[in-house]
Amino acid sequence: MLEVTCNDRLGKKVRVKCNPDDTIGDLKKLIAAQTGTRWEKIVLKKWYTVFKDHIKLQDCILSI
Amino acid sequence: MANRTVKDAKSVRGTNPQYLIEKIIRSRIYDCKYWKEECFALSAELLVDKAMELRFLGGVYGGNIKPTPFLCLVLKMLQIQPEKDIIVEFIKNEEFKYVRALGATYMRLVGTSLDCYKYLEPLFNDSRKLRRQNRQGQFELIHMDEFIDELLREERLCDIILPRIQKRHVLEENNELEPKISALEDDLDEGIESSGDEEEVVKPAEVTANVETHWPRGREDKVRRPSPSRRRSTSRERNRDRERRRSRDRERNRPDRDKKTRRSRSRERRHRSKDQDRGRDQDRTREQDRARDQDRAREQDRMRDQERTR
Repeated sequence: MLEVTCNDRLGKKVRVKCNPDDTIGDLKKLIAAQTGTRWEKIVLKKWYTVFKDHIKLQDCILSI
Repeated sequence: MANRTVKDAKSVRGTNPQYLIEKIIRSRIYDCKYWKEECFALSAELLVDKAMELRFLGGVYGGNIKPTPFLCLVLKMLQIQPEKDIIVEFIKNEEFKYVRALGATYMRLVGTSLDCYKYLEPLFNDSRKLRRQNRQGQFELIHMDEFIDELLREERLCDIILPRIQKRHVLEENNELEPKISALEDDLDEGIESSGDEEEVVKPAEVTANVETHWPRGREDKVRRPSPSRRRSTSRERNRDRERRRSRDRERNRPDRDKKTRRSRSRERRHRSKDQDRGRDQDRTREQDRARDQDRAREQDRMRDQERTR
C-alpha cells in the first residue's frame, strides 16, 4: 500500500492510498472519488510529462 | 477571431452560445492547429465542405487534450450560428453521415426539446456505422442510431455537456408530441405474442441486469436485426405457444374485455389492439418490456462489435 498526494495547485490536495500494481487509471478513479471531478478529466503529470492510463504505478514510481 | 462572430447571435440557454463547451476545452480548441488553419473565417457554405471531409466523431483525446476536428466544427457552428433550415438540411441529407451527426449534435445543443425530438427521432432509422475516437485516441465503432440515442439520453457526449431537454412523456402529456412510434413495432408485437411466457421467466433476471427502463432504445428500430423474443420462441415449445395464442385471440375479440378483471393483467395490457386507447402507461409498459429484451441482445452485440474492432 502506498499513499499518493495529489495537488492541483489551485487549492485541492488529496491523499489517496493505492497499491503499487494499480494503474494510473485506477489512481485517477481514486482521486476522482475524493475530489469530485470526473476521472476521465484528470490529467496527472510530472512537470510536463503526462502519465498515460495503462501504466502501472510501480513502473513509474522510480521516476516520481 | 476566437470570440462571437455575429453581433446579433441569439443567446442559447441564456448564455453566449460558445460557452456551451467548457472553458478548458474551448481554450484547447482555440489553440489547436485545425482551428487555426481550417476554421478561420468559415461561413456556413464553407462549413459544409469541411463537414463533408469529416472522418470520425470524437471529443478530446490524448494526454494533452487535443480536440478532434468534429469538436472544432461544433464550436465553429456555435460561433457562426447558422440558420435552422441549414441545420435541418444537414440532418436530412442522406449521403454524408458525419454531416448528419454534426447537424444532430448542433440541433441537440441549441434546439428546443420539441425540435430535438422532432428532428432527431427520424434518425433512429439510420443504422450506418460511425467511427468515434475515444479519450485514449483509439477508434471505436458506433451506429448512427446509438449515437442519436446517446444524444437524447446522456448528459455528456463528445466532451460537451448536453443541455437539459424535457423528457418525452412530458411533451406527450402536453399534446405537443405524438407518442413514439417505433419502426419495429409490428415485428415486436408478433414476437411478444408467441413468446410471452419466456418473457415472464426472463424478466426477473433482466430487471436486475438492466438499470435503464425508460424509453425504447434506438437499436430496436433497426429493421435488419430480428427481435430476440422471436428468436427465442422458435427454439421453445411451439404447441404451448399456439394454444396460448389461440386463447389470447379469443380474449382479445371479446367485447367486454375492458370491464372484466383478468388473471394476467400485465400480459393482456401488452396485447391490447392499437384501436384501444393508447394511454401513455400502456405504451410505457409495453416499451419497457420490449426495451428489456432488446437491451440484453444489444449489450451482447455491442460487446461482440467492440471485441471485433479492438
